[in-house]
Amino acid sequence: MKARYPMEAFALAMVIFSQNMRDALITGILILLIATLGLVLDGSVGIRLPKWSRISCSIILMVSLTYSLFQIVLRAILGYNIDTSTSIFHIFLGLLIANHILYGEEDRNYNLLLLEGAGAFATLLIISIIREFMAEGTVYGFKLAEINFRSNGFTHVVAGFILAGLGLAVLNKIFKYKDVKSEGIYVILPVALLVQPFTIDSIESSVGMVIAILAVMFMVYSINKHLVFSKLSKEIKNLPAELVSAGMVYMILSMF
Amino acid sequence: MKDNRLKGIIALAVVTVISFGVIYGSKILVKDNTTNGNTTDNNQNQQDLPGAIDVSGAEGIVSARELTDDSGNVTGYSVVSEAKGFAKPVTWEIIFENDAKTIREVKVVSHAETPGYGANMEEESYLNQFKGIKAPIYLKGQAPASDAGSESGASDTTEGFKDGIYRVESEEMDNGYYYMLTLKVENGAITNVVFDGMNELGEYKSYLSSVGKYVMTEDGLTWKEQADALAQYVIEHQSVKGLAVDENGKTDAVAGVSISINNFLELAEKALEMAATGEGAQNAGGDNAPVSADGEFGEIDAISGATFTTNAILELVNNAYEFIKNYAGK
Repeated sequence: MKARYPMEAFALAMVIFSQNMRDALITGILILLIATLGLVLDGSVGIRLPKWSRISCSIILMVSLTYSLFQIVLRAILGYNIDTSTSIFHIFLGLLIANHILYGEEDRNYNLLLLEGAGAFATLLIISIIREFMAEGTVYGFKLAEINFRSNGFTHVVAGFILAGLGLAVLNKIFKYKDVKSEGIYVILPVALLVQPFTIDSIESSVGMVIAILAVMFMVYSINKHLVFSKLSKEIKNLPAELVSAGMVYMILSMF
Repeated sequence: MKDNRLKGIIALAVVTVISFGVIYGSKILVKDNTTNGNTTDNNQNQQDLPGAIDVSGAEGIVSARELTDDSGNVTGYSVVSEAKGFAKPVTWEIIFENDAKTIREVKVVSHAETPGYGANMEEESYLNQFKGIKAPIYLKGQAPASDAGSESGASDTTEGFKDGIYRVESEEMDNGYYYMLTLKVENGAITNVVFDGMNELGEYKSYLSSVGKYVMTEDGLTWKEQADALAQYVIEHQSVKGLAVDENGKTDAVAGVSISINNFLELAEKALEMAATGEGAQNAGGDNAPVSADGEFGEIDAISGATFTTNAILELVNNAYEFIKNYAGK
């Protein structure tokens, strides 16, 4: 079966944009808005186009719309500074939304899209609250408690991967998804490209970056091959398990 | 089909309304605890000040302005620059002299680094090392070897060794003494070598042997004289080749030396390796001496245990330098 909401896009948001509640709130609602708009447009116009045109138009439209909306909302309206890597992640979000529009459930049910999308949004917010509180003792920038066991490690992608995997497993259970078709590589690859777990100082930085990316992808691939033969429950299979294993890979490689 | 399209439009309308509500609510609720909010205010303040420089398109540069005196002459430049630290951006204000190269001082604007690690950047002793040094900056011993004319750390030479002073110490005690060796390279050649040992009381072996408190033989050279002879061998040969040792660590290559030279050899080889690459070269003035004003780049100490923060500081200072260099060069 296929997800009825843009699961990979929300997964990427849970990994990268859940460091604090403010980013999670904006990212989640914009993903939902862009996905809904894209599905409506595809349902009205896209189905009349030849397949090659529909694919390219969807990708171009979703990527440009995602990038533009995030720039407008974050920079112009809210006045935040966005660095280059964040902008690149927005582009990847657009690609993942386009992927959902093109290859998602063919029989579109907007009720379930909004319901399950809201569930994913809520999960994203809960993850962001956990990460922000454990890292800084604040929620949405408001200090709730002075706690001694704070750890900046919760802002690292390791925590994002693990919490995202667990959150998606819970969502699959709630929505009664069994063996949902999803591609973890679409979520893990952008993170590996932009956030490396280690750097090698003694060689050229670009070569070191390539080595780090290849190390991550190789380890994730080999784990996924092993997971095929393991007995996982249907809710955890595919994306949730791949995200948790990616988190473990990052945790191990970050030690170097 | 038509029904589904209508549902889609209704769903889109609902999501749009909710989005507007969330975004508007965020605008009201956002609290300026993060660097983004503070940076926006700083940016606004800098832009309101006279001499503001347009920073649009400059990555990592929050704001910049010219500093002028009462007559309107430019006396310096202030650049607010940021780079990603361990978790969040680190923002500094770097004030350059009017040559757009010498750093007058630096100030920490904001950061979210870990107390005891990256947050140590706020210590005055750490910030003071930036005063008077030239940009671009590097960590000590990591400056590119091709930068000629620098008076800090190692500089490139044609002889094979990099100019500088190299200090190495043994990690463990040997018969009650720690050993240390200092090697000085000038114009590519080793010009001075000092080898000594220190006991737990802080007494140097060279001193003890000079005053008769450390005696090996009544007839032979004192320990200090033998250490100096070994040092002279390295200066004459510019290496430790030829200093073959037997199973007791003794050598016949240097007349009058009967002490075990294993410690000397180990430290000398280490120092020569460092001198070959320039790694770990120190200023003549000591570890914390800032680079003189005539050097072409500056070297700073890293923040212990805070690699991400140190790298962020290097990045933001060098970005600020690149920006103001391009601006002043117009």
